Amino acid sequence: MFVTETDNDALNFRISATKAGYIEDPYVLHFQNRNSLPRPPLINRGTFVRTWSIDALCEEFILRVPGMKQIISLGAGTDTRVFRFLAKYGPSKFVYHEFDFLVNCVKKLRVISRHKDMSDLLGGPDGFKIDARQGTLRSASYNLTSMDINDLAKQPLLEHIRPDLPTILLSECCLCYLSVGGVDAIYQWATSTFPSLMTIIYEPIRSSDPFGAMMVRNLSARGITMPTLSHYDTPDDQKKRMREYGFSFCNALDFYEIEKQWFSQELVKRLNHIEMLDELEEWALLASHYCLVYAISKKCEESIKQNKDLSDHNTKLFPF
Amino acid sequence: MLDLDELIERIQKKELIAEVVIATLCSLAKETLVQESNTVQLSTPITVVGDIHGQFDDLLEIFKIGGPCPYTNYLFLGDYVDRGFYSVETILLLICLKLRYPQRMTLLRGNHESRGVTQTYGFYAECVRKYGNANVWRHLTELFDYLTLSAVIDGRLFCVHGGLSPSIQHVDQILVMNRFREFPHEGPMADLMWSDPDPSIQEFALSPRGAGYSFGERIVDKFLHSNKLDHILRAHQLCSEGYQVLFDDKLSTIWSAPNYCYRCANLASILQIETDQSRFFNVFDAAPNQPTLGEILKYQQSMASSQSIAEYFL
Repeated sequence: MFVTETDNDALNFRISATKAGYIEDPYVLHFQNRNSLPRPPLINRGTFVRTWSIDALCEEFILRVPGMKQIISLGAGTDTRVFRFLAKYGPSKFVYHEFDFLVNCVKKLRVISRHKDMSDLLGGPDGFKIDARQGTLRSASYNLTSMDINDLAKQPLLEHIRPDLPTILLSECCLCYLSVGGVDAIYQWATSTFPSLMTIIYEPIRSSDPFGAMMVRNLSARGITMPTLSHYDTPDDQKKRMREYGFSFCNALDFYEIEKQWFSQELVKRLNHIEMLDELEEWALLASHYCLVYAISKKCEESIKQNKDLSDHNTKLFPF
Repeated sequence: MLDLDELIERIQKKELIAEVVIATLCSLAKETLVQESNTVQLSTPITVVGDIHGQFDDLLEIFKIGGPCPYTNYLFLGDYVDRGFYSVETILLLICLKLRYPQRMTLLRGNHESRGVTQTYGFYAECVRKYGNANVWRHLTELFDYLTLSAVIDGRLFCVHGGLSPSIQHVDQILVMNRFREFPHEGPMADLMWSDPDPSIQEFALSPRGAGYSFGERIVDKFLHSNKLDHILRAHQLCSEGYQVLFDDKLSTIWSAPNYCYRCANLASILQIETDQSRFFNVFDAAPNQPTLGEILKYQQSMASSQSIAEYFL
């Protein structure tokens, strides 16, 4: 399987979790195909944790950092976060840029142009321009560009990307497919380009234990390898990585910890009400092998601290 | 008349057995099972087996490790179907062995031997994929209603799939239950199939699974004492080492599906009990011919079921 096809799995999982009622996402259903079968409760639960926790971090950033924000999502594939956020926050709080391989961009452009609820969020048919051959979409709020992520650090900055804006660099299981050197280059580029920067990474960990070793075997049988996986084995390794990149605040926790530390009682009740998780031990095993890492630059941390007049911020995510 | 030996041979080769044969098997099996009490009395020597979950190659391996039935007496603690690729073959083989050697093979009901659960966790989908319709699933889930709930070995070892119930202090209370139905979401029958021991508590607590209860050491002590028993044997929970012994050797969990879902990389075990009641956990790894990753891929690509075999978030 090529890395471009990993998006298919993610898409089918998201469709299943949406249809089961875990996630509210009218846009993902536009990407449905005949492979979109319901997944078991374990998979729906994990998909929910992934989506919810990244949403929570992005939304906290949007709410607490003053002014216009910028979100750069690497290898986004069929992810619909930009549309869900535009629907919720409108176009004045952020600009959103996605990068992916040509084949994935073209697929996404087709779906966007064919569905009014998505194109309306971009300002209607006159609000955006598509180049189907290049796989690009340009609009005031959202830009999609086809690019090998490795080239991001090597090319001059695209004109719609603004280094002056507080920026989230999001890798939802994308950077793990690059080489260690490739990822280092991207962070060198990002930390030197965007003074006010938060990064969010979601990727597998713990390949050193039996479950993780089996995961590596099973994935490589499908042609999937993750060069960085063995380098960052634990959440602590991930935090160390972020500090080495120069971030002033960082946190990393696996999905099992996210449920334990970040989920309210009401949320857990709601999830259990949707579907019962039969095998809790299996869930603990699977969930502990996925890590959410996030880190903030000094300038970004200061601008969040200065904006302390918000009363309902989530101190679990940003404990300051 | 069915030739059970021939049928057993064909199932072991994973041949598809005709629906009409399955219907006959189920009908015959019901006649045998209906006579069993809700708590079957068994004797050592006996080998106790935990969850199989459709991992047929591992079941065949278990018969190699533990010895073939009827030369070895077997007690299976339930959860024959769901999750693995070969739930149909697994349950059919066990039913044939039960019919062929009724005194040498005892089958308890697990929480997955249920219409509701099998529609979520793969058995229903596997039946439809292999037979084109739900008839086989219907025959087999009707048969599940007849499986007994518990067993006692040598009058001293209590065996059940899940665990204890706040509604059941004496084994006699199990005897008078009506088990011949789809088990309800709540109540003593559900508890026996769903409950889990919890070393961090002493009494009963609501189970994080959403069904059954968690129970602690004091509950185990009371139950063993009131019923003049020594030990509880159960399955139901994945054990990375294949088994787990709790509460000062008063309760054991046996898990018999190695590398569960071809993803968990766990060991499995079967419990061999001799006539002096000594217990030996025979631990083993995945069968050498567990479905290859190639077969898993082919299976996933057919995507006709919602079983989560070797699935990961990407």
